[in-house]
Amino acid sequence: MKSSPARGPVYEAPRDLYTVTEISEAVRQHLESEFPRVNVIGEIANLKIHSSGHIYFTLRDSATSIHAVLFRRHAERLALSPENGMLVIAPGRISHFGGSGQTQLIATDMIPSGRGSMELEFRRLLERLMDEGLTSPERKRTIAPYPSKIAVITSPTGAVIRDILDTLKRRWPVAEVVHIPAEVQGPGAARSIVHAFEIAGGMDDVDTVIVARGGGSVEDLWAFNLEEVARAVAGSVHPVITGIGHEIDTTVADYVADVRAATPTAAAELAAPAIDEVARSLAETMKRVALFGAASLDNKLRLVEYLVRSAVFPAITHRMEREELGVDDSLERLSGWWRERRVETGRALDGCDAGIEAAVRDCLSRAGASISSLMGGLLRSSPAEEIHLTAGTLVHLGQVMRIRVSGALALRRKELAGKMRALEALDPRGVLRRGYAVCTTIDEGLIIPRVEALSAGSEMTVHFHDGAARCAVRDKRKGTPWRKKQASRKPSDGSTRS
Amino acid sequence: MAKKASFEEALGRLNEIVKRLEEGDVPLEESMKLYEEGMRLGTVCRGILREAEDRMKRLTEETAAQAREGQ
Repeated sequence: MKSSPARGPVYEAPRDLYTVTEISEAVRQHLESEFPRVNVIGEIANLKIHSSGHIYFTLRDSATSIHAVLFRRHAERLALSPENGMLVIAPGRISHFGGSGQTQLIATDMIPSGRGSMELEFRRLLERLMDEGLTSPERKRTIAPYPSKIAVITSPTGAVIRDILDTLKRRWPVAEVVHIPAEVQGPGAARSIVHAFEIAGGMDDVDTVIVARGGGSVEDLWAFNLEEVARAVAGSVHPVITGIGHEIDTTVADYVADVRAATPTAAAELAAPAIDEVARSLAETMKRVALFGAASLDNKLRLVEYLVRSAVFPAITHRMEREELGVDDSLERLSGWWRERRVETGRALDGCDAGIEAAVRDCLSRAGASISSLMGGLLRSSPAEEIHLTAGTLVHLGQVMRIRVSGALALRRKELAGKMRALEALDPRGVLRRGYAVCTTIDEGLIIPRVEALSAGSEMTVHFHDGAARCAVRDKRKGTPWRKKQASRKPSDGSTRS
Repeated sequence: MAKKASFEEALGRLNEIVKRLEEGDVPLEESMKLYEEGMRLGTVCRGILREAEDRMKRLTEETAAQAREGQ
């Protein structure tokens, strides 16, 4: 520390070289001028009441301590009788004793600390939870970006629940919101909040839990600094957003939550996306889809994967539902768009399109079904829906796989159906149906492909489409068959006619 | 058929049959045989596809059930 001569130094101008006495004295003067009147909160330890009447002790908190002395003239006026472990506020000044080389608090009083004890409790609990790793960043879970169901734990009375419900409804009306009422202040608060978390934990379709309380004094918010509440928040089955008090209030619950919001309303904002922004990102997605339009089957499968994996996908169906467009309508638009793309790029329809369309159709209709029953409140009616609602990465991946496979299957089915149609068109019996007949030998049923194999009198079977006839050959002739009797009447010189 | 034909093999053979019949110079008797074989192959292929779909459906349901339990 530099002190200029103009300001009137309280000790000799600093130099590089000090004697022990000089530096000790300099420290003393500095401390006394810097801390002439302080109030120190701490726990009493190493208490010694000297025969002289002076009281020697140390004040400490979790890891640090400072020596302190209370001289007899003040000790005689103490309102409390000090004990080790007692938490007090001690007013006084800080000084340094050259003889023992110790920095000390020269106390003038000891006041039992109420508020001080709360702060100490707060820090102790927080430290303990930190040691257990409950506040570590790796423990923080991601909040579902497009939640289907949000549980709100807060008081049933007051403005907080109303503000939260309004905010959620305005931003993300598609989510179902469940209010789990809880006392948020007073002696029953901790038990009530813990119970509310148990209820929320029992609902396996909840995406996000909000726990909130409006602003108030430190005492009002105290429930959120209690260990049982902090553990309920940390142990919540679903990710938790806290919105407790005002911006400046931070409770232990805030530290162990997955996300801390400054206020209850801010918590609601963090829990749900704004539907208008989602609509914008949907438009962006459709633009990307357009880029994929002319691509190969493989790319299209990747597109489906992209659509499903992107968090926006469920939002697409939400949005459609909101605008009261049926899934069929959106399919119609999607395939209309597809046709346009095809014309635009001037590419012929390849067999793959059908496969991919089937996959998209499948995918959309499943999503659509899931959304409509969500709307209807039939939350766990089908496994497909369960998949959508769980919305975890794993489930997404599983679905992508499924769509890939069902796309491939649809393609195969299509190919097979094409072949079978071609085959049916070639059914030899079709020829018979058109009026032709087939001759076979009587005994072996071998087809008689030429007239040479026959002679007058031999028998054969003639097959028609509706049956067969047994026939005997009367006559045979190679080449042109008989037409009319007249045509063969002039035998001898048929070639020359006048 | 000693071993069970794969879908691809069956479809490949079906393809050959259709091509052969389309060429048109097949004796009627052989064409009947080809036709029969083709129809049989179609049934086999459909069976394989149906089986694959069933399996997929079953797996999906199992996964969903597990997801429910795991929550």
